[in-house]
Amino acid sequence: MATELGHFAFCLSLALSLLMGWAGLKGHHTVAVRASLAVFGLCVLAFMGLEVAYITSDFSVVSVIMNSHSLKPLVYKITGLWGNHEGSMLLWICMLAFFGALIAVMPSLRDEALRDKAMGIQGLISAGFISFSLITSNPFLRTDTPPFDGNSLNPVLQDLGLAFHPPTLYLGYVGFSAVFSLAAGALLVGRVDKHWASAIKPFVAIAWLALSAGIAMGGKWAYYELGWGGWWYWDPVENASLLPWLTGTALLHSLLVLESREALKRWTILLAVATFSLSLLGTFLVRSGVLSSVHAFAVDPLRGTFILGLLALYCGGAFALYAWRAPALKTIRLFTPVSREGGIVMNNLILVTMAATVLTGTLYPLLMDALGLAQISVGAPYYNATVVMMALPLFILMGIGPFLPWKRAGRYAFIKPLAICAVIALAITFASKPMLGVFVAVWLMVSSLAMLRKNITLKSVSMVLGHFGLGLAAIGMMGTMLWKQEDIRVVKPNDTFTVGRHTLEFAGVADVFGPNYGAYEATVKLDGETLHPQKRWYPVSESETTEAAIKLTLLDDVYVVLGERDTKAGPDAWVLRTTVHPFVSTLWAGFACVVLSGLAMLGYSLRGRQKP
Amino acid sequence: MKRIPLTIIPLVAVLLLVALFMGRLADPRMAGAIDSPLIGKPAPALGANIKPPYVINFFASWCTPCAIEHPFLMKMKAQGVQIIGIAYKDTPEKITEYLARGGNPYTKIVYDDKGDEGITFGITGVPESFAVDSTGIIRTRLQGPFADEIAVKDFLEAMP
Repeated sequence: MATELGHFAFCLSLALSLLMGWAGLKGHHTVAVRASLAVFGLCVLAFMGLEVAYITSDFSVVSVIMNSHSLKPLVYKITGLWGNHEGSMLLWICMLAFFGALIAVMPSLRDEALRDKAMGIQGLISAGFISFSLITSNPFLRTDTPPFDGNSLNPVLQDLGLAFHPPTLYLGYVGFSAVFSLAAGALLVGRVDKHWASAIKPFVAIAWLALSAGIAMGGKWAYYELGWGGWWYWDPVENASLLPWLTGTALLHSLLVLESREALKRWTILLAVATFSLSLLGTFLVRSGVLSSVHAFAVDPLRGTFILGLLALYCGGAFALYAWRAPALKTIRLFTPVSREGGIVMNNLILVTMAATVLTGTLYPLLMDALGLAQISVGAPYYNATVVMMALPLFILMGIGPFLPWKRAGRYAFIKPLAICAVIALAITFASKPMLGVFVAVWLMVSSLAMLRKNITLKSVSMVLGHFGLGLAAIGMMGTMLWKQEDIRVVKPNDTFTVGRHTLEFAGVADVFGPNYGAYEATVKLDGETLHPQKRWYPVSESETTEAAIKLTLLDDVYVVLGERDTKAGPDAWVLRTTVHPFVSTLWAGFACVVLSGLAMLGYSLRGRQKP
Repeated sequence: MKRIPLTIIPLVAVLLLVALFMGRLADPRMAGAIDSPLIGKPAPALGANIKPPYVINFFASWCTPCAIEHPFLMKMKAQGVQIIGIAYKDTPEKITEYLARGGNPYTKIVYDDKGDEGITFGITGVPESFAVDSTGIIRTRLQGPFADEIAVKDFLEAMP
């Protein structure tokens, strides 16, 4: 029953989002607002209807059969809804409807004509995706031969961190749909000014914040689950989340220029449209199977074609509108290259170049294949040589930019504090390796903190947190990439050795027995703390497992693995492998700062608009 | 003639991209379900020290379809097929209990408690099986359980 109610609500939401599109674009304000709220309500109802089927393990619903199991813990029954293509699409649409409702009620969006147009466009986007869901991947379908039990959730997704990683990312991806609608709406209305900039800022803040958090959660999961060491693999789907993040970051900076100087109008609109287009591109890549990736959903060519059609319709439509209406947007005020605006333009150029580089790398194998040339894959070396190199000048500029005054830098008063920061950073990083990389990261942190000496407002705190966090994260990235220490040696009882800053004492190996296994258990003292790496043997299944002992500290993560017995070196000699990953916690702390800066931005963009 | 504004560039870029993807989707290789990118490539090392040919079978004690296909695996074993079992997100205790019920068809069991091997092989769930030929190359993959004798025969024929 709940499933049918959900299904019906979902179908009704399609009709109402078409109404929302028509009423919004035609300027029937009240109708559009009510339709926006109704679409959101109906989508939530649809989601809850399906959730009831998941929670009660209703195995007459195909999606529940495929992705759930009666014995699964309740929390995974709930999260199982979006651990698959159909259900996650429903969640995606709920968020789309949520942002539609947010446009309808956002109190300080004062330009009612813009609000109507944006609701209209958001309604049309919702209509497109609800049709996609109903036609190609309906999660409410039932079967006439229900089985006794389900096929379980894809076990990779039976992890709490991973259960909340996709929804967070979706909130980011989909959040940019509101920005897109407001940008296209502004083109239709023909007004792009500082009021528009302040109006879309909360939307950009929510989307950017969620996207940053989603990417960070994905990285953390990859680091702890995919075998210790990497947290970013330049996988096409990871890149798909990085692309809107890069242009979204560029967007939130160019908004600052638009807000205070009414410059960069066309550019800001372009970024706003491009960011959601890249989100759609990501959705297409994940769900169409044109690129093979560990993240890809099961493949159905019809789905790919359908999403491509939607992508062509919305992005093509918005960019056509841009080509037509953007030339009418004129910027009068000028600024000199050495100014806050100049710094932000440089930041934008680098970020967009990075995005273009990542996009090229991601699509290059496809392009080569389409032209009938070699089948190749683009991996980390390409990105390290390009994107990482571009990060160096970006980080240097990020330290300088906030010191520059708006319009033009008079008398070069900004040079003195910057020079002091540079000296401090040099002193800290002196003799580190790689000097340039560390210097740039420390420089960014020092100069960001220096911004706090004058005025502490939510706005400046947001900027400092973001910049400082990125510097912190950069240290962590270098730590995990360059300073990993690995030590493999043959040890005998009471051997003491050092790996990096840690002293290890090998006490010996003892035989221990578990309920159904026997194990060699080493006793290793790591800086005075006793660790027990094991090597287990399961006689029934004739298999062995290695249980690493892990110690997490603030400065580094250490893990110790017991290897084979080395009979040549003596009766009690064993191979012991120790790996130290420095500054991993720094990486997560940096990401946390970036997310917090997004929260601060959301706070001040909402508060700032209370005052007229 | 009126000059075409530069603002048309993004539109052109989007249309070119869409054309590229349309070409890709229309590609006959996309028509059949995209199979594992591992097919035709050497099987990832499992540290099992078993000479190919063999079957790699992802399974778990908590998985109902695995119990359904279990008798077919036992028959394969009786035919002399080597099967490496990858115990996916499971514990040795539970696996031992599970195999005590239906017998052990596996030549060797690899424990994949974190799901790393699942990522390496790009599996979509359990059970899932890969056929590795005598040169160590993955020949085919089966998503889901062996449903009947014909499925087993088809699968094994792919691995000469």
